[in-house]
Amino acid sequence: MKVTGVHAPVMMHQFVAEQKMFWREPTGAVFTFAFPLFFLTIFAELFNRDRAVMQKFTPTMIAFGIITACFTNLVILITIRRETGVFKRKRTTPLSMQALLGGLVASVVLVAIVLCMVLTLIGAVFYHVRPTQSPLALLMALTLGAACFCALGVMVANVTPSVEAAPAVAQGVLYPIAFISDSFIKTPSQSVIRRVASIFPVRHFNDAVIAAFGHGQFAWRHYAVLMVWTVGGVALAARKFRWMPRLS
Amino acid sequence: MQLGSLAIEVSGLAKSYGSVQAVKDVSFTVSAGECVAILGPNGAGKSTTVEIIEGFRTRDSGEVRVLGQDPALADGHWRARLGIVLQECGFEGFLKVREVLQLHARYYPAPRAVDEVLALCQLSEKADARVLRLSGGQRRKLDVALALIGDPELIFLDEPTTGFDPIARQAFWSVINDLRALGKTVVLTTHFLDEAEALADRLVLIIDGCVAATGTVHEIRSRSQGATVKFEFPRGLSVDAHNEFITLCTSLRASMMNPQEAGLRTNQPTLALAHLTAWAAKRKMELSNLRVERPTLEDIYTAMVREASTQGSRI
Repeated sequence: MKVTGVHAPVMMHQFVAEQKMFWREPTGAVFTFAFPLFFLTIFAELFNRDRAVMQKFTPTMIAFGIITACFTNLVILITIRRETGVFKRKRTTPLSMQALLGGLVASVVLVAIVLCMVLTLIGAVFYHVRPTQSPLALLMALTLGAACFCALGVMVANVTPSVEAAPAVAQGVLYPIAFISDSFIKTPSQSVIRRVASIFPVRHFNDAVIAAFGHGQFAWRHYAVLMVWTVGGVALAARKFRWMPRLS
Repeated sequence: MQLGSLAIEVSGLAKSYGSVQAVKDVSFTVSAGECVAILGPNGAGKSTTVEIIEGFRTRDSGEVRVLGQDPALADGHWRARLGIVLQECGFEGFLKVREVLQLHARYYPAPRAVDEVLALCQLSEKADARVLRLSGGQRRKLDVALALIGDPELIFLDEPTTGFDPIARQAFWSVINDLRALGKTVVLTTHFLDEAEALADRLVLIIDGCVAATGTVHEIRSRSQGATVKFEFPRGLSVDAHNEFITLCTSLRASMMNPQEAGLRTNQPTLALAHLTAWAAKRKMELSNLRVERPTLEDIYTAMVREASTQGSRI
């Protein structure tokens, strides 16, 4: 009789359940897709669909899409599940933390993959963006970014106090950093803002995906920064994980 | 688990939140196959005690063994043997009732069949409804169903029938009795004394962080020798007869309750009844609605809680 040793099959069932819930819950699914698609198409018009600009902006929006699909969703979903007592109920069962979080993370990663493909397709069809000459470089950049922002999503969810605060915390952390990290507008080179942004993972992720797009370059320095944030995020996420709602 | 072994052992349990001592000194045991109800007023330390036993909270001191393990060090193997119905606990609302049960069944090494548990908890008709659409009572049934899906040996029910209508309560009681028949151990916390009386073999009464009484319902009820002899006070009684009655009460050391309905509170109901009926027969009076009332479990419980709180305020 093995209970806790077997994470993988239970994690698979968690993943399937999370997928059902994600697509059935309209607002979460709509917002996850709406923001990156909205930004991609609006900015494309502002740039007069300039191919050179879109060649860089499309991968930036793919990175942004992965961040919202992974980071924002995990902050909100984990906080809701914990604060409404879903995790507390899971605690009465033999389900392990690894299987619980593994299923949830796998589910948001699948959402991120679908979003990535939609954005790439729109870029290729409407703005004539060349996806990549090195699928391996792109895969590596996307995988490292997804891992990093999943870890950070779990970490931030652990310190988010309430369901009401969750969207504000997620957006409040993400948007300022995204703005200084050239996600939407280019910051002047050599500026203080740029140097501050280089501490955070968002700019490194953007640059890694931009490098992998088109020419298919590997960006090892950016990968290294993403990995450092991932390791830190995972360590804190596992240590600070809570099953119980705050007021209990 | 062998018959007669202990499912739960608690001794000298204590737990404080800051300066508030929620649990001061709680000791009791629950045998395998027994149904024990834990009673107590709000804030008496009942929930904290149960949550420590369930493995949700840490303790400051004392010994706790549940199915032979310390809940503070418990793992998935131990949790697989428990079924817990918590108060107010969230659901995965966008899943269907059957889907939630199927998902939870996967967590356990030897779960019960989903359809069987649906039928047992009267949820078969709602099997394909999303959890979001369930009423309060139906959600409570799903709480119970989720606690039973793993086929547990030991079941905790924290105020399980709150929000149930009388029919649903009766049905739930029969579910619990069926579980008892299968040899399951049940620990119940409730505010409904009739529920405790209907289901529990033994009661543990926790007041002010300590065990105030334990025993079978019968033992706790027989702690009080008192009874009340009641009848409707006859109209148009002569002054003479009235005085005689007062003297009778004084001699029986009985106290009267109210002027319309005479009620004699006494520790010797047989003697009181003999004297009373002799007096009425002599006066050729028929005492309408004459009866002897034993205190209900609720009366005894209320008296014990009141007594404890007045002692507490004296300190």
